[in-house]
Amino acid sequence: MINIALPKGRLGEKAYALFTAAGYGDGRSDIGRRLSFRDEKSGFNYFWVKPSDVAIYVERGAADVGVVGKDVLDEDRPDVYELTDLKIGKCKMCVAARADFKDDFSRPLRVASKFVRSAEQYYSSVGRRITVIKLNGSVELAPILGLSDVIFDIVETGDTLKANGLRVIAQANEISARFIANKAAYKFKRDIISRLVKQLDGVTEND
Amino acid sequence: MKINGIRTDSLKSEERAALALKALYRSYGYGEYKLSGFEDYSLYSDNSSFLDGKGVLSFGVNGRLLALRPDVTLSVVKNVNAIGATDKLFYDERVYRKAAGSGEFSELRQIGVEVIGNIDGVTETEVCELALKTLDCVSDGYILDVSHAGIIEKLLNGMGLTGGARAAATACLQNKNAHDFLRVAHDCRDSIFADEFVKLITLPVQPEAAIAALSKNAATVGIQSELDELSRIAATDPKHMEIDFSIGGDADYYSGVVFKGFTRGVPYATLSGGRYDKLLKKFGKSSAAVGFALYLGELCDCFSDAPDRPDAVVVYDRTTAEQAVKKAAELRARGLNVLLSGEKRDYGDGVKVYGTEGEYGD
Repeated sequence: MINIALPKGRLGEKAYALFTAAGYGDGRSDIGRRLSFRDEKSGFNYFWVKPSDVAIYVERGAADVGVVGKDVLDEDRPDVYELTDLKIGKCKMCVAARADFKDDFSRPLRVASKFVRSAEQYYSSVGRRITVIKLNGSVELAPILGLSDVIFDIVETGDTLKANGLRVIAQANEISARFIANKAAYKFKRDIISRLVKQLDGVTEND
Repeated sequence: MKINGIRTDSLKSEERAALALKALYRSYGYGEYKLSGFEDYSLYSDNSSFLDGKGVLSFGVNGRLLALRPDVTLSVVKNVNAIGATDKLFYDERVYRKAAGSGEFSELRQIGVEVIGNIDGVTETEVCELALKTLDCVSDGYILDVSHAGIIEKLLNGMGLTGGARAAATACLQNKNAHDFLRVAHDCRDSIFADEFVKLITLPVQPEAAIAALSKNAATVGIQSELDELSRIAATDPKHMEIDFSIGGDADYYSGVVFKGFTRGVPYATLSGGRYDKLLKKFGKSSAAVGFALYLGELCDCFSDAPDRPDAVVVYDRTTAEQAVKKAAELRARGLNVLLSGEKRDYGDGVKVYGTEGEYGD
């Protein structure tokens, strides 16, 4: 028996569809307000948790395994195993700015982002001094109102950027959903977790 | 069972484990090392990566910046002077650091073994055996992972990775993340080293299979002697030992085998150690060292002891106090845990209560 933490929302539903295709679920993600359910056939327990909390549940052992975005892993750096790329929820971590933006290298670049650590790491890798402004949402507003020069954020289709007069000026890295495991749980439940990884890989490769 | 007149069955699991472990280490001829006083904060700030992000609590006294000890090994290494002789030590100390899986500072009990001086294969195997017996003492289900810092370092050097790419490759190894390593591997100078590094991530954990997989190109990539060392250590107890390079070990401190112990029911490693000659070198000492620490406080926090409950309660009031005190003493002399109380109330099932009606007979 293993406990699986899935992110609430679209990504979690896509992930559960993968588990179902791999033979570990019944495909029903319409669970109403229930936060946990059990797949009787496999004996797996599933929990729906806030996407940014999945890694916490897994790191602390409340869930043995889970599905989490690479953006969360890069930002929070939990002490977990990242066993496979599920190749769903694909998007890009990008730098975006107003169409008329021109970098002024004589001063630190003001970067608005929810992903402070990732932004710092990216700009450190390209050798640019920055000041990060931590925002929790509607990041696109920051350059429009002059709060920041650029934003560092996830871009899926680019429609929100376009609607707000912003454009991508650099791409940091690619994001997708990852299958993670608690390090101690992996030691004691390795056979079942490894089998699950293999079957999920089989399903994602066939897609 | 009695130790100096104390009933060990009345002790908490943490206390029982500590007694058993100290007896174990003494049975191997190890002597207890007691630390005293505080350390200068600089001891920890200069060696922050050895602390693995566990944090330091510091305070100032008379112009000196001191720290509550977050770790014991650094103090032992600083204070022990093993010149021409080998010290085999164990300790049982309180440390003050962020507990595993928590951002909060805690006072935690840590027990460990350190051998400093001339370290040969026999000593290394003995320490590994003690690590296994330590885990066996505190858990029914346990695994001791073993890795080799020298193998990881040689493959990283062979790939020619530096800076961010080297850190990314190390992170991929520690997270068993082979899919992202393949992107890092594009920048590698020599693909055979990258191929061997991927093996470290995806290796079977069974010692025999892991050694066999790494043996194929060991001579080519120059890791044969390290692999022989790993193979010898992993043979100590193949049933409870696994080869797993994800446990890492900071290359600035560890020079050879690295251990990490996991016990069933605990979501993080409860034992950690290895061969740390490089740490001694940082302190200007030429001797070698090997040891491990058991995070007893964190381990015991994951399990609950039965709540303390006396075997008997002797109740008294103003007129019966003298009689009650005598009765309590008499019962304690019979080996019972006795609570003397001025409150007449329900003390729970199975607790014998004396004196509620002013009577103290059996």
